[in-house]
Amino acid sequence: MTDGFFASEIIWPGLCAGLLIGMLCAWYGVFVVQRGLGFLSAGLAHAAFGGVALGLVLGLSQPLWVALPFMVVVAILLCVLRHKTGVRHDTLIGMLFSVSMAFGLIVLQYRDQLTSDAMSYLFGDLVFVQWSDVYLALALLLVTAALLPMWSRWAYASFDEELAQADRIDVKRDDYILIIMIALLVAAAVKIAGIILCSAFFVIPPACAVMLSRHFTQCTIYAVVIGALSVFLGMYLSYYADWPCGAAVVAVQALCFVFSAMVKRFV
Amino acid sequence: MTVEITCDNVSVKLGDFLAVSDLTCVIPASSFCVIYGPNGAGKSTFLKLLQGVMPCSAGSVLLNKQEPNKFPAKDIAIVPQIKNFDRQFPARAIDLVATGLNRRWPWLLSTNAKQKCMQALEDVGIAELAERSLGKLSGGELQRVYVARLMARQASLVLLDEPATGMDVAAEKDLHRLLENYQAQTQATILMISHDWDTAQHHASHVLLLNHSMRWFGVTEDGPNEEAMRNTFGHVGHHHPIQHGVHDESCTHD
Repeated sequence: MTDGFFASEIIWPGLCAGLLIGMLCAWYGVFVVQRGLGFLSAGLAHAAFGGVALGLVLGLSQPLWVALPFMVVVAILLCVLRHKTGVRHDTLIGMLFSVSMAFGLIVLQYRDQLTSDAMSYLFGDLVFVQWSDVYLALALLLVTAALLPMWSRWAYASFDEELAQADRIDVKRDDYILIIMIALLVAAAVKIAGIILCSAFFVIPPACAVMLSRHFTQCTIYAVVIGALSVFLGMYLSYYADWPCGAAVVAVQALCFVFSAMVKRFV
Repeated sequence: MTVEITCDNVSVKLGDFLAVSDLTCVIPASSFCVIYGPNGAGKSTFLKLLQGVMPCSAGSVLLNKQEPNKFPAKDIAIVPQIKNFDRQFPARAIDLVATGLNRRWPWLLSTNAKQKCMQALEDVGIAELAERSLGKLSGGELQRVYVARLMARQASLVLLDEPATGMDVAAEKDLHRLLENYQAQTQATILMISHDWDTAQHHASHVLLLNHSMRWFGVTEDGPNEEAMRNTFGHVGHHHPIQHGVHDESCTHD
């Protein structure tokens, strides 16, 4: 059975991109979950629609190249509004994702062709991933590797922002970098895996890891492992059970969550 | 190193609100100064000014002739008033103490760092709690972890914002004993916000009465007079030593 899964050429780009995106989302997801921003990835994923729509109207074959900078602008706007107005993150995310989607719908009115491709773009599927998407995920992995020293700063600010500030950590600047990285990752994850899987990647593996870990390093490692493992098992399950790929991955993650909750409860 | 704090006509505006105004004093090196005043009097704002995370709107604050934001952060340790962190955050007591050493959240603890953290935890009498989750510690135990954190840092300026909040009497006594031992070893300058006059009377070398502006500053033995207390709180507490001429009576002003 394994031979069939691994011998299938169509699986490899999706598996590679899925593993990379799964691990990266979990890596950043631990900060998302610890800061109570579980809605961030879902909100940003929906906001990507505005960027995709703009890219289509501009006639680009790959609207992702507009969606990526568009998401960076949304992320910066989120940080600026947060710092200038003091309005809570979840409120701002709710507002920005609605405004971005409305912007996308208005922009699409100026396009002659049907708009269904804009929607299909948001519901990516690991099965239809191309090697170019794997390279995009690899590029994000390289940027994340370059930002490895930020982990201890982000972790400190996630624990207690005021304590980190008192130790002269530029929490505001670090927040911008974190949110921009999350926005870029969301834009890529939406293209590769779709909105639902993207949101799940950011939230479920870190939520499992929090229940299983005693310290934050362990939590980050567990989240990344669960993120990768769920992609592999989900795609494997999808291949043999003929389930939709994204749904199978989310189902595996849900099982991981139940397992983690039981471990926390009984061990 | 010892730290002298020089405040010259310091004012801090938070938006339109004047949190601190015209504060002028020199807090001597190696002193234990209690900042005493009613709620919302600008005490925590003053500590933030000393941390270097907030600028003066007017006047100047100098730590050994250096502006606070230029003063080495490794020489300042704080014990915050409200523990902001999420109790579900996966962290052990030793992780928090380690932030005292490196001013970063630890990815891995080196043997040397671990030894220093364990020593600090042992000094505050909770070495056995090193591996325990922060979320499972009691208020008093958590406060000791924060004290261990400042001991690990060996800071020469210690800022405590109502550290005894939520502590029982025995734990509070322990806290003061630990701080006094720490000061004896390091000659650190300690500033502590407190609502407890007893704390000022028994532990502080200096008292700063603050209600937006400075109402009184001096050595504890000289004590603030009744007028200064009235200016600060709008009243003098029933059990205040000034009213009774007794110096070891305690009272609390909230």
